[in-house]
Amino acid sequence: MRRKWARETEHASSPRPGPIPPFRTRLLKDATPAIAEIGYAGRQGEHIVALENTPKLHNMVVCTLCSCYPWPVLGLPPVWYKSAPYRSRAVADPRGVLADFGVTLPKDTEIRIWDSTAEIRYLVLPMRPKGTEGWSEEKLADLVTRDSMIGTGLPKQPADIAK
Amino acid sequence: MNGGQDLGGTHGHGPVKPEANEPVFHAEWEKRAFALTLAMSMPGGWNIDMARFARESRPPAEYLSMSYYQIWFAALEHMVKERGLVSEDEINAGHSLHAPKPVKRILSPGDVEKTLHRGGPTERDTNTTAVFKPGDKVRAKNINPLTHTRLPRYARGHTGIIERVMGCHVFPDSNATGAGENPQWLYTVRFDGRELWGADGDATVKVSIDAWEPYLEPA
Repeated sequence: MRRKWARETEHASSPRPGPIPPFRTRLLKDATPAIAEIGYAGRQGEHIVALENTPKLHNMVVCTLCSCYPWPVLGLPPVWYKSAPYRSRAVADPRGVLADFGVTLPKDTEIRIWDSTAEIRYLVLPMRPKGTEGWSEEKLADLVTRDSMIGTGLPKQPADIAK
Repeated sequence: MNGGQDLGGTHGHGPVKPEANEPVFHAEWEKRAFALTLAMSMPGGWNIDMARFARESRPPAEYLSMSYYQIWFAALEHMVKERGLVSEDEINAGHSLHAPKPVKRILSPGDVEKTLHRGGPTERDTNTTAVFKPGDKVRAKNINPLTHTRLPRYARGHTGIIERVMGCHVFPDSNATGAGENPQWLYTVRFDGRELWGADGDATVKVSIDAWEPYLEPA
């Protein structure tokens, strides 16, 4: 999953003009078959929707009623995702929750919370960090974290992996 | 049901505490509780909505003081006893005491991988048409069933916008009681933070739920 995200993001933000590469388009249009193409499918991932983060919009996923989470792509959820502090506050005080993760977003960024109340499972497509132009798929994949695909984290910055 | 599970917007639970090493399971018994819960749905004959209802039916004080897999295991114990697959004296003894009840299906080790890979899609064909379309203004109904529902309390009575039509899906409120799948149209409904939380809410926040048609009315 991380590798595929990296590949298509790399192409999509290329300065060269041209058609948007198909995987990114397919992922955002209908994520379940797109993800199945690379072998990830099954229980708790029967109906996946990918959510694109932009400079103006930050997506974050929760399940206030239990622990719904896209198992096939992210594995089983961490304890905090299933716990009362996250489930209670994600919908009412997302900036406070993000602060618990050490994340601060610009004041005017719209924060969109997706409460997984049905069998739709959500996966955040993180925003590509600046300074990664021309990076290989492998190197880009190193920037992607699990939390950045839940929306409680941001991808690593180039400086983080240069250490 | 308005049980301990319906946590959105409740206060006093403290900060989110991510773990540094984050083990998937924190004890051997958690692995067994997880595996047993998944495997036993085949001989037990319960669906995911029945299992969720069994978990949220723990009294709220218990629900909030138990760990995640303690809740799962307590619900599993309840469901196997309810169906007569295991009796109280066997639970107390820690082993089987009676002749096993015949079951229709079991999950064999060789079938685990393909069963998990197949999953349980909930979208169903329908000859009905969706009542709402993207952009429609809707209100989440004020319902308070004693049985299973997936309409969280914080959204009830509030007005939002239909954002996406997600197809026709198994209706958990029916499926959890054994009344059948009763598929209904499912929508992503987006609410402004201030509509949900009042004037003190964060104006930059929007929250969506996925809501079946019976949860909604035109606004």
